[in-house]
Amino acid sequence: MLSIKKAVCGLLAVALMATPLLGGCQSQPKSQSGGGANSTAADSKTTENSDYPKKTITLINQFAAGGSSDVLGRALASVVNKYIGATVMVENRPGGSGTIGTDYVLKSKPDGYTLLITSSGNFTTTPIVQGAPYDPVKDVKHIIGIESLPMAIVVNADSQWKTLEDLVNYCKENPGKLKAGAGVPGGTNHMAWQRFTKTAGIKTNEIPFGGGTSEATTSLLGNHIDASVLHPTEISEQLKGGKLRMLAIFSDEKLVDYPDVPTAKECGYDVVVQVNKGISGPAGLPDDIVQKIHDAFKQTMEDPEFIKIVQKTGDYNYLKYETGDELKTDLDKMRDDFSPLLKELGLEKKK
Amino acid sequence: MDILNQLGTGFMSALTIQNLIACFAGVFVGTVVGVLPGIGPVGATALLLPFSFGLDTSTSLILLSGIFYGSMYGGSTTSILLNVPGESASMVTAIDGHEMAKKGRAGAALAVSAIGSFIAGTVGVVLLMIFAPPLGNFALSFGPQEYLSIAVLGMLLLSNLTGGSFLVSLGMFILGMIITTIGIDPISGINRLSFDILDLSKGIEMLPVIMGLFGMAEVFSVAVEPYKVGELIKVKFRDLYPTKKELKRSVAPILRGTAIGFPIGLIPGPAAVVSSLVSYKMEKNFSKHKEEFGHGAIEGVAGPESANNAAASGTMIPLLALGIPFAPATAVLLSGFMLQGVAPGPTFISGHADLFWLIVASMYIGNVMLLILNLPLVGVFASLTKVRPEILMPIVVAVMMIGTYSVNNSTFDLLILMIFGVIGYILKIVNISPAPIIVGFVLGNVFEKGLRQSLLVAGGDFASLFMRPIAGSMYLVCLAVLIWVIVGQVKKKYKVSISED
Repeated sequence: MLSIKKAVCGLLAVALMATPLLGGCQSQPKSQSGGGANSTAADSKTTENSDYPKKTITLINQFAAGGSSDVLGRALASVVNKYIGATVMVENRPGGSGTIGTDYVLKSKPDGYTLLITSSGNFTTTPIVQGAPYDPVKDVKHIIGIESLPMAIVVNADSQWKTLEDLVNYCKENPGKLKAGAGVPGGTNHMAWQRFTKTAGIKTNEIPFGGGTSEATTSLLGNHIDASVLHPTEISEQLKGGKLRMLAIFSDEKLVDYPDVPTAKECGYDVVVQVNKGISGPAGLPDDIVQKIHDAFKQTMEDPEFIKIVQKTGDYNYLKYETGDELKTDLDKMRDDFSPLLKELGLEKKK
Repeated sequence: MDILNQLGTGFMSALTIQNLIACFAGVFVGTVVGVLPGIGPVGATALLLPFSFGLDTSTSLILLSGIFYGSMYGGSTTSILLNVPGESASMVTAIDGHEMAKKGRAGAALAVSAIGSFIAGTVGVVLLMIFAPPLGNFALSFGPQEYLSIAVLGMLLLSNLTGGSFLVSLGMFILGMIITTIGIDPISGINRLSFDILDLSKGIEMLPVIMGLFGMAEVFSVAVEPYKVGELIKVKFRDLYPTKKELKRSVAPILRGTAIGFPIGLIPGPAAVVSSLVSYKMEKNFSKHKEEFGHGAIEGVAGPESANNAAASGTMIPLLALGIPFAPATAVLLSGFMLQGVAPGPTFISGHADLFWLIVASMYIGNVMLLILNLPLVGVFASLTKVRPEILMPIVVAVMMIGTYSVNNSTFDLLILMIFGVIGYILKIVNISPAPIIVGFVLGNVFEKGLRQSLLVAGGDFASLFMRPIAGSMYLVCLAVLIWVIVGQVKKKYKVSISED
């Protein structure tokens, strides 16, 4: 019996020793603290924080592990350490449609060590619907825009609707009959569907799916609902497998991956809704730190190692660099756009 | 033959040194996180994700899958030895497993759960291999109406899981349902019962509730009891393994657990927990030793532990065949796949046949490794009970808190853990089983969402709920169960009145 125990211990030891070997390809962050030497008092504004970063930077993902923010965040974190000169860790603080993690970052010390994987919803719809305890304008400093995820109207590939026009015509002939899985009320998917039905002047039977997009996808595949608004990135395998069909995309331009799918605009419905992702921090972040973070992430976006990862995850074609100010303008515009709609739907949280 | 050929190719590539190491590392980490209370596959997989970047695709998928099914093995260890569930699905194992441990049969319970896990895991892989494509489509035939009918059936079967007063169980069950309504309502998008407390808007998670009600409560009660010189110390080494009689009694429960666990894995939701609950109830009904349940019946360990392993294999089917994660643990696994550039989905099994068969082969190998790893560990773990509680329990509390915190990085979850620990302790004192709370907690959500979505789909037509084949059959089963129970009650009364005459 003792020998078995010994054998087990031996095996465990082997496994433990092998683990770092397997992961040997991971790059270690290069410390750039030596750069502190040129921190002469030439420019007080930029040299104030020239020793940043001195410790690990935490990127907060405000959604559950396994979601699109998590995947993008981990891809960024694995490469950005090269450029920022410190380890970057992704930490998940999910809940409350992302308000918990967002609030955590916005209320943290503005020292650049706690950053947010920005998701537009938390600065556009959720503050209005959930009455989030932060101000989506005053409490935040947007640093860089990284990705713009499009949204599309999706139906089952076996369905009778081949084009967006088919769908609209069906809805006009059968008002309120089309079962639309429109995401959780007040979410960006729901806003997109609302925008579309309003623009097209149609009525549908909306079935909320709060369990994330996977639930809507399953129901769509099983023909329990007729149509849904989904991110093409999340259903790329179902599209490839010929199980689902995109009728139109709510973007300004056609998608590189799906050149045959028209934009809603081309079909005559001017609806543009997307989810912007980027990096943000609490208001009051010093300008030089903002600049440092911005530059590091911008370099990361051009890094071959990062590009290799996002090509695998399917994010590559949706990367869209924006400055922090441009991201802010986008989000402000979206919020102004959705706010009256949310009020009209009675989804605004009463104070 | 085709299947065997492909499986053969899968084995060829799974048996390379690198993949064997990855498989072992995966199941080893899985066992460890299973053993450590509170730390589960979700946290472990998420922690290892960044590390899997550096590996090549097949190696990393073998590793991550290994963690997932491996964690189902270790979960029973602390349930049996300390009455503290190692992961959520093992709460049921604690009911009889710990009673066995108190009688000096800890080793037998541990060994049976390892063997049961192995059989269920292996059979599960066989089923996965044969049925993945057709069953993937079967899972799609479940819409809101079907989920609702399953929830109704589950409530009917499980509400009085551990026996005792029906009214008390019902109360506990309703309490569980109420707890699930806290947070953002998935249908209206509005906060319920959150009292403007931001942390409540995320709802109450299952893990801290289970760890609190079962684990923390146990720690509290041990802390209050004066230290007794461990009655378990006298266990002799040969007593560590099950007797022939115990093994014989475990065979049927293991097979039944496997049979019921696998299909439950195909249903979205906390399949592992539900499957072990269902299996426990089933064993209690089938057993010739009904009176032993709650006092150390080996069937109560063998069945549920097999069921949650079979469910783990079942859960892999929607993930691999549809690309849809039905449980938080498979959601993290999915992102592991995505980061490797392989997105599971309808084309995965045909398009990435080599990878699919490699994963299947690695699951066979992994299950054997898990058995070899776990059986000898029985002795090691059993000796844990010799550690004085004042040393052991603080460690358990620390691990439980780390595990609970690590899932959401939320101190609020720690508060929930403690609150439910106190609730669980009070329930212990008044001798009420907290299991129905979990049943209500697990099914409440499914029930509510199913009911509201079904009615929305049908435009408020209640009759439509019963008009679908699968849902309709479920309700027929419900009806049969009700009639059976009522007839049983009447018979009992009749007999009593006759004997009184």
